[in-house]
Amino acid sequence: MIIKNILIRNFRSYYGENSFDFSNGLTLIIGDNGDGKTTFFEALQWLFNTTVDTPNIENFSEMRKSQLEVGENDSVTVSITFDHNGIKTIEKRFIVERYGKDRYRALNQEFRGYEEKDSGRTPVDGKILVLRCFDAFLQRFSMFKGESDLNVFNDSDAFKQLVAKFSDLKEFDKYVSYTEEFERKSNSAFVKESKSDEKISKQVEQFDAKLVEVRRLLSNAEKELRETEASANLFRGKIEDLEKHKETSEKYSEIKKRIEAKKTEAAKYRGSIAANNFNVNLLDKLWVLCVFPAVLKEFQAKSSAFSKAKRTQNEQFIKELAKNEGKKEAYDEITQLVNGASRMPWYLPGEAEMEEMIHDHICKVCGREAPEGSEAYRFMCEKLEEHRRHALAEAEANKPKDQETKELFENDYIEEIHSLSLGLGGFNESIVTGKAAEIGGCIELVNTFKRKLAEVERDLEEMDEEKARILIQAEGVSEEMLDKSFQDLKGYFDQKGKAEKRALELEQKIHELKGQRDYYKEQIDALAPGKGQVRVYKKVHDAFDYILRAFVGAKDKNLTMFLESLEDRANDYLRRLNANDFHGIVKLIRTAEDSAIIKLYSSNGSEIKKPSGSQQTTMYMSVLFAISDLTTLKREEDYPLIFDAATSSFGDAKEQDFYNIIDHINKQCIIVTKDFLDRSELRMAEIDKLTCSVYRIRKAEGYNKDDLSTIRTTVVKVK
Amino acid sequence: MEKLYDLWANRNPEYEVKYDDTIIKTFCDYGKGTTMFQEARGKIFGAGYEILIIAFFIGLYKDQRKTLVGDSSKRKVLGQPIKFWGNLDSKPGRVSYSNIRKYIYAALVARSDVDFIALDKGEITNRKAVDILMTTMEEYINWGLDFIEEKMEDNPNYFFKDTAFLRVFLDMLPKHATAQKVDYNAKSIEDDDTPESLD
Repeated sequence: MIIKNILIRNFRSYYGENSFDFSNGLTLIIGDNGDGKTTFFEALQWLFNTTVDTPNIENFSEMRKSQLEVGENDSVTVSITFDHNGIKTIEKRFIVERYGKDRYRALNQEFRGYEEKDSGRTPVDGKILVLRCFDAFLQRFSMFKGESDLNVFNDSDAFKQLVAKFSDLKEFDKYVSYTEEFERKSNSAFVKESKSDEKISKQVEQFDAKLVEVRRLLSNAEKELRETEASANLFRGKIEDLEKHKETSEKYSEIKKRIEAKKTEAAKYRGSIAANNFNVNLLDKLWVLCVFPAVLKEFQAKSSAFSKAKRTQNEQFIKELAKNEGKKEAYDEITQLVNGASRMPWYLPGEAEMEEMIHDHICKVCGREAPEGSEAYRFMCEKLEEHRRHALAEAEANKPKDQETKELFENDYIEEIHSLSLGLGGFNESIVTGKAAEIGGCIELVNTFKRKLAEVERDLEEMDEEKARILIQAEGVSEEMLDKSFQDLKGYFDQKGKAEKRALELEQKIHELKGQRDYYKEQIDALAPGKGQVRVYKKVHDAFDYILRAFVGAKDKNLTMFLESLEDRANDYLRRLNANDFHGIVKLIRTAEDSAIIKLYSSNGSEIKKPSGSQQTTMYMSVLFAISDLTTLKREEDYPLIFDAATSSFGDAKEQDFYNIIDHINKQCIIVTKDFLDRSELRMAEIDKLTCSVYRIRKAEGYNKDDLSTIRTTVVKVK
Repeated sequence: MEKLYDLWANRNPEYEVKYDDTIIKTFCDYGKGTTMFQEARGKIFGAGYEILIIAFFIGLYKDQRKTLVGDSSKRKVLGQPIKFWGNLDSKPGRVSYSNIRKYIYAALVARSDVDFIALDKGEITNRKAVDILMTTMEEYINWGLDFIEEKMEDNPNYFFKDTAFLRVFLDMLPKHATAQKVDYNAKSIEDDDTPESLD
């Protein structure tokens, strides 16, 4: 299949009719973002899709749609003309009709096909033509959107299908299955016949029973091996997927840890700042007293002034009081001396002596008797009474003086405030005078915390951005998946390990069983039948057995050769596509199911498990070119390779090498790309060096950035 | 003899009813039962008397008094007498500052015209002396509340900042005081306009 022309009419941004002609070699379709590259690719996908029969109005050009009058209609058409045992055309189209204001409908989707024959252009069913010339399987190996599409052997059956489709190997399958049948039938005929041969019947029966059992075991083991390999492959695939994100996952966990640590730090600063509530501190920490020192001085001065005044007044008062007391005593003394100069002091004789004299009825001062009732006796009794009065008065006089003195101050409120004043002085005063400095220090501290918090918050912002970048790089992988990756990875490794171990065991077991099978077969073969008829059966069986082995061996050999040849060609392309870069060696590893997987190795034998994006792309492309080559050889029938933005991981130098090589590859190749553009302008100097055809697609000038209906793709053939 | 301090501390200063809505309830949890404490979040101060203390010190430091309205129906007192002021132990995140009472008392003695000689001689009653102290206190508070209200009329958000009340006091500090040297207007502390000076 060689594409000659593609026509796109009113398909999305392709307004009106747009035609592309193609040569047998490379054609570049160059466009910038939004110029219609992907639309070109999707137009082809839409054309080749045979599964949907209903039209989708969204594929209709918005520009054309905006021009339709009520009652008018126009068509959306994509058609391809190609050479595939003669020129053929496949066309898919539908009609869009405007039937009211803002009312449109899409109808009549048709799939048309034409074949150019000697008799002229003959219409055929378009769908059938697609299925015949470019079915879904072929599309899978020839149309690639982006770089991720290129891994054609992701699907474990892909290689097998490829071999079946494009090589003669499948022819062997028929013969293998025929000869298997012949061998089986001839064997059972021989076994049946040998039962009549007494000489060997027992041994044949015995060996055949063993052989049946071994074959059963072998078949089971082979089935289990296939399943186990499939399972190991499954986990291998999962691990590869996860490993793609392993680095991201590691970065992600690391940044998450850092963010957590920063958040804790920020919380610490916020706590410290909040603990310093300036307004509340006015009260709780008595900051309100910062202006108080002056008031305290006033209070201290006032209370000490009152205290001093009170003491002064009190001293004056006591002095006055003392003076008056002294005057009275002196006066009393003088009056006593004048009135009784000859009188005995009142305290002579004493109270006891007087009581004795009264008791003894005699005056012991003068020695005269004083009987009871006499004048002298009465005198002594009066004298005793007088003594007692004086003694009482004396005792009264000896009581403390202030008890009887009148006080000047009856309250001690001045002492109360003075004592408060003393209490607020000294150490307490220094606390109050230090308040201003304390506030200053605290504000400074909080300012420091705030500065640090601001720094931490800036850091956090940056880390959040970094985290977002990581997530973007992970291409839509969710945060949860990145979190899970590590655990899953371990689980998958375990599973894969178990499967691989089991596969090894099974391979060993199969090897042993095959040995047993061959042994029993040899044993049967070695038997010398006694009967002529049995000998004939045996010879027939032997012959079919040889034929079977020949076909099985040939099939195996051919497959291996096919793989080797494919590998050689792929490596040839790989070397050319990476002329100036490390490329490694492609290996196609055969699996139990006769399929294959692609792996990249270094020349020293170690597998390159994580090839770079461009290595991977060139590796897959090399295999694709090789497949295409081989199929061309086998079927004398080519098919194109169509890539949309397949080189996005290439650097400039790589890009040039790549196009220079691919320009000379003898293969129809259509590459839709934004390479060769410098600020939307073509780098003609580089393009001129190429021999291929080049189309430039771009948005027509004068569009409105917000209005889809003003956008149309123009197609210009550059060379 | 009962201490004059205790007689004073048993009292409860009067303030003008009009400040209830504009100031007391704006800045304090006043008027909310303890069960409604959650709703009181965001208030700068706790008990109603706290804003009275702030107002008192503003009046005191500026030495500005304002006589209360004559009509007794336009005056009121808070529930807690002075002797309970600053006992905040039960409130989360706050500490007791009961010492403040002594300083208020000392300031009142310093700034009131009480003849303590006459008082100690018994020539005037202790009740009369406490009346004089309370008048001083109420007039300082009254001026302080008026000051706060005036600021808020100019800018309703004036006091709703981390440092707003503190700044009022720092602005009254003598110029040589240490805190003045600190850049408390730094952007990291406050994001917008600086309160104007009281001077």
